[in-house]
Amino acid sequence: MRAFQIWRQISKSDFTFCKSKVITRFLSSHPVPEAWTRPFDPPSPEFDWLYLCDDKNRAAIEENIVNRKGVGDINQVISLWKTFQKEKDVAKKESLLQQLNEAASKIPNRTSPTSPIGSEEQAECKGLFGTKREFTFKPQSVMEIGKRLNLLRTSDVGHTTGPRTYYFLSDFAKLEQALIKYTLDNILPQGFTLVSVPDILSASVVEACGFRTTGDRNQVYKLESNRHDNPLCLAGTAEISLAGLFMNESLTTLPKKVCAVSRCYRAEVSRLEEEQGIYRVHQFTKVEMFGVTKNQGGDDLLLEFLEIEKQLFQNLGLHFRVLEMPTQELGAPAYRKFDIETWMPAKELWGEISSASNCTDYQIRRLNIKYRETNKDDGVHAETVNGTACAVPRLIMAIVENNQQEDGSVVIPEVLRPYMSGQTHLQRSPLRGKLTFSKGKHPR
Amino acid sequence: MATALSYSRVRYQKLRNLSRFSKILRLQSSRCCQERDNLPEFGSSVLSELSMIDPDLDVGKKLANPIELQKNIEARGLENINIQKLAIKYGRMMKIKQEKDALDQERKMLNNQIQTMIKEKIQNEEIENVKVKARGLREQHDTVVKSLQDVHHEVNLMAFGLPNTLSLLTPVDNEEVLEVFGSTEIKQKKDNFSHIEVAEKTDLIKFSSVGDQAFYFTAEAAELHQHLLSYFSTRVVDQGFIPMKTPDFFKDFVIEGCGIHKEMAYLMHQPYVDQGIQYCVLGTSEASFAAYLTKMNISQKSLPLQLMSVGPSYSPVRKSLYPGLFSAAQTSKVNLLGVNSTSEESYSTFTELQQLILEMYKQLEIPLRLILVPAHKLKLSEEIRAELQIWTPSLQEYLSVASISVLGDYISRRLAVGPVGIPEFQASTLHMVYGEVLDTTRLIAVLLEHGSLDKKAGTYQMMKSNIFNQFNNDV
Repeated sequence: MRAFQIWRQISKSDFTFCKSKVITRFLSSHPVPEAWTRPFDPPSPEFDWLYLCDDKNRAAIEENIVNRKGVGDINQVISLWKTFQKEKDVAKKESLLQQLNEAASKIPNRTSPTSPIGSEEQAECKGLFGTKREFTFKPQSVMEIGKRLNLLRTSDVGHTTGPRTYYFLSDFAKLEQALIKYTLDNILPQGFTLVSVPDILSASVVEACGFRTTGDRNQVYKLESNRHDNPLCLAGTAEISLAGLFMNESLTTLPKKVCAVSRCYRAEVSRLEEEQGIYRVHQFTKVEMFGVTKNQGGDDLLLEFLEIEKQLFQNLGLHFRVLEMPTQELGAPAYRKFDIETWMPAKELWGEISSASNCTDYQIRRLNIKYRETNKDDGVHAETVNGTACAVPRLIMAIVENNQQEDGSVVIPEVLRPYMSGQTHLQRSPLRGKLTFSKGKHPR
Repeated sequence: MATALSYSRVRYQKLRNLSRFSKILRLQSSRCCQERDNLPEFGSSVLSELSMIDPDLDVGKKLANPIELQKNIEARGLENINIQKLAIKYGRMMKIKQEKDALDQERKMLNNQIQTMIKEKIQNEEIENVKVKARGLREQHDTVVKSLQDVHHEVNLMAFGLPNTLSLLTPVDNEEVLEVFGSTEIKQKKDNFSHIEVAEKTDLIKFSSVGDQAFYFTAEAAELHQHLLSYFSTRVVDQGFIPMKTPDFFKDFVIEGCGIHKEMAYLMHQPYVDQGIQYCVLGTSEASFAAYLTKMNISQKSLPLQLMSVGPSYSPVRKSLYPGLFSAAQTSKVNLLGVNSTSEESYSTFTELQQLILEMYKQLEIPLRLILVPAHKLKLSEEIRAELQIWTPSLQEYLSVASISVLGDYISRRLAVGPVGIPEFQASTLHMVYGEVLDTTRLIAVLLEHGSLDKKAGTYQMMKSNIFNQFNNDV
């Protein structure tokens, strides 16, 4: 009788008769997500061989490579291509294809005819916005203000968390949350879908987005690989994770506009005095915009992103300029790029707070992202665009330095006050008493 | 027949996955065993010169009551802790210390004697004889000091793996249910579904192979993610906790100082490490607070110190057999830490925080309970832990989503978080209470399972709750 009851329960997928929860869980039909059961298999890149291997384009590609700091060898690509075409042996052809893909992957994206040619100094100012504040007193830096109000700690932190780390306390931490919410409240109504992204990614995905993970001067943190099947990296920007979201997808409606709040990890270092403090740090929070659009639609989407960024920063009361970046500042993936720099009064310099790029089909071809027009079977390569909506530490730096008053107080921009319970000024941290760091070996 | 075949197919797949998982576990454990032979022992990073800390593990006090210590170890199910061996080593250390103290005394006497002889202008030959004796004593002293340092290090290394005191309130065998809210009967129905099925039918979750157990929340699920972070962090701040934004990677000694093995974190690949120091990527955790407070002297005025941290949290070790997002590698957390001057204050905070968390989660209007976990489920650093568990339809059991623990002076002793002020206060230790108020990935997965999924139509409706209306009102 009992056996019959158990049989009836099994037939109804009810395993609660099991005394062991582990066995019950095992028997219930909840499979592991399929994507987690297979190792990461990067898509084979689909380079534009017609363009790259056409002798007529050789000179233009060579010139492009030189203009962009000279990475990549188009002659090697063409030579390999010709050999590949002639080769009959299947195994040798396979090997040649690998070499060909590797050589082609080093060729940078094409360059927009509007991009100035040359180094950073050639950047063209496309507009000046807001009003530069004239101070009647010597403005303090965000470091000095943060220390005075006990809202920022950057000293004696390297001992536990390494160089270029920092702690935001109280109102600085609230300001970070306020900036994130303000940014999302402004961009989501503009057709963006919010996405929560993974921060730990396979090296192949990072490379496909145009970020090198090997070599001395790469900015990517890698994780110990002996415990994982694939080399893993920490994402330097949500752009990579968002591009990974669309990997191997065949989209039917475009444009797709997504955004993400993520923690960004970058190993970049700087010995410049003006980049100390929280200007150039290894870990920070950012709100990123990312879009996939039709072929030839990248520039329009880029300008749309740029307008959103300008509006966000204007509403914050910042004085900033928009720069069209020159060829040597484009990196490998960008076809066209705009940076936004805001005035930082303490150091009297322009600091970059945002960057927006049209990567055309550079990432698309490496991540196999296509779109399919109605009634057509063949997928077509799309284009990707990305832009920074909010990079927290530098925005805090800009807001705090520009809104400081002679009496030492700091005014909170009006647009952020609803996100800080109506506060009009930054308050000193409520931390009472003293916390002092004990230098030297601490005996007990 | 078709049904039986279908079940067989699913069971086969489960067996295959489980065997693959077991293989991974065996490989990991064998690799860990091999690696453990080569890897430094647990606590070695804290005890190294590079940490600049001389932790006070209070070994003498622990060994003063070996029966209690043994009971503690057995209750927690810990293995490979040999109290007898530790006691022998500790005894030897104390003996050498006595020897050193005696030599110190003798050297002091000789030095005084030399000073007196010089004042009284005694013959140089006599002074020289005493000086020779003093030199001999110094060499003897140096040897003893070296021996003492070595055995002290060995004692500390052995003692580092000792657990925290076990609270008398901690149940030993089974969990103790403190409060239950809501009924699970209504949830025990045939048409339960898992969040994995929600992912299959909707775009709210996308599982991906782009990273280590990677996944994406999109649209409503992603917005829920942000709303939950805001809701819980605001309520914690309203209770007087100071919000912080903290770094996400820590030097290895910070991790070990919290009682966490380095394998519980992602390890940074060379060359981004200082000489001999490993960086661990753990994200928001007890290490966030520990790193901030390491080697800090805290005045009595600053207490009670109440801190809150919000951010991503990473965990590569997946011992859990819970499916899908329930054991994901990445989540976002709202954590808190209370630092008090006495153990009594910590336990008082522990009780208050349990109620705070219970009230926050009751707003979700789904079945939940508050329990005390049994000793064998405690971390090394915990004296007691209360867990807030939510009824999970796919698992048909309660799943932990939040917790509060009393850490006592475990971390403060290991990472030199010390009191400063009047002698009485300075001679004491600081006591901590740690809370994980929110784990977004787990909670969102559970909340999705409390919605309604029409598998045939492929439509999904999020659960209705007043709390979601509050999200829309919160700016």
